[in-house]
Amino acid sequence: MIESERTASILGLMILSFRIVLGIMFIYAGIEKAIDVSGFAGAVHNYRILPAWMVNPFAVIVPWIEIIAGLSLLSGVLLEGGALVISGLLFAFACALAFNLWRGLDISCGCFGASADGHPITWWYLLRDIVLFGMGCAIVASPYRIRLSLKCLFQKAKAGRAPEGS
Amino acid sequence: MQYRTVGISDTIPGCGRMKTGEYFLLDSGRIFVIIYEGQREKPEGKEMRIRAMRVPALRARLRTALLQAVFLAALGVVCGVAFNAFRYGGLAWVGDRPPADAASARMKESRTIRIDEAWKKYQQGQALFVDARGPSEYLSAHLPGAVNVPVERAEKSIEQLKRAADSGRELVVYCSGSGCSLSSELASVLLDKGIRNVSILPEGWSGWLDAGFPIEEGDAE
Repeated sequence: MIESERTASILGLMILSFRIVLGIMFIYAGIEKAIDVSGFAGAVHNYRILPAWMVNPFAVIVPWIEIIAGLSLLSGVLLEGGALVISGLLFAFACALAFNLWRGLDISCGCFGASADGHPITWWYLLRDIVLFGMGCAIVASPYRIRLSLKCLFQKAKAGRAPEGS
Repeated sequence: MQYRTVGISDTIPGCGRMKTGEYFLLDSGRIFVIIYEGQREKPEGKEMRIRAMRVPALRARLRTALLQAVFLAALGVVCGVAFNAFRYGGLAWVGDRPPADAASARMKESRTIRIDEAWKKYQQGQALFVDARGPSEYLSAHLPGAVNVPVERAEKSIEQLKRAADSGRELVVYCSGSGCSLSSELASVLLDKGIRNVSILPEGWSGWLDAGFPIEEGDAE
């Protein structure tokens, strides 16, 4: 195996592991929030960022977007879209966290549903979010990925077919 | 970085001619990059059979990603709305009640206490303040005689709090201010543990300061 191939397959495995980590995490978080939707609405309300009329619709819809995007990441179906959705969500969460850390509100994160932990948010949560955001972006941007299913033309070809005219 | 090189005239059936700078993704997950245009020599690995797909340029991939993301988000909206409509006790969309708030729901379970009442009870030795904030905030200043019980460490303090409650003192739980949820979270933990004599000071630490009641600095314990 030549060097570039090894690099590429390591990067491919890395992207695959990002997909598994983010996928499982988002499906889990989404289910927790979708089940305890009023608890999640409470957490969203406590962030005091969204206007009151948006809190409930946000709490109803976002967990399902998380679940679907997580499924997309795990299954490889509409992978780029799923990764983009997750990156977008993580970016939004990071902004909300950073804003409330900055103004010193002692709210609980609500990251994995309202009841999962009662810890007040800290910069550690933001760091975790940013790391996950990086993973999401890597999946969107990288061509190095091992798919479980490929829709595009999978054509057989020989790497070393004799070039024209030789 | 070294790449496997392939002559420009090589084609992959169905994917057309290869151009310099194009990526191909092999089904092994490896990447195949064309770097030398017009290279004529026979590439190494001739015997290797590849199955490849063209990897579009980043901008095209982003466009695809955006379209897919919109679709997935719309699917999420549909699922969320449908699930909420059919589940028992779905959330109201807007307004006919205050935003569903776990904290305020729990607040209804546990009683609240007015600031002046709390102060009076404390003076009479009938109340113990319980600080639900983090240790650092507690250490810098807290209500007189308060014990620090962050929610995640509630288990450890249960016995101590139970003894206080059994001796007839009311546990007055507070956090940083009127919007904070830690006090109601802690109160609901205490209620779950069978301590009934719990009430919440909704104004919290900032309300206490504003009201001008005495405070205590450092570690009281």
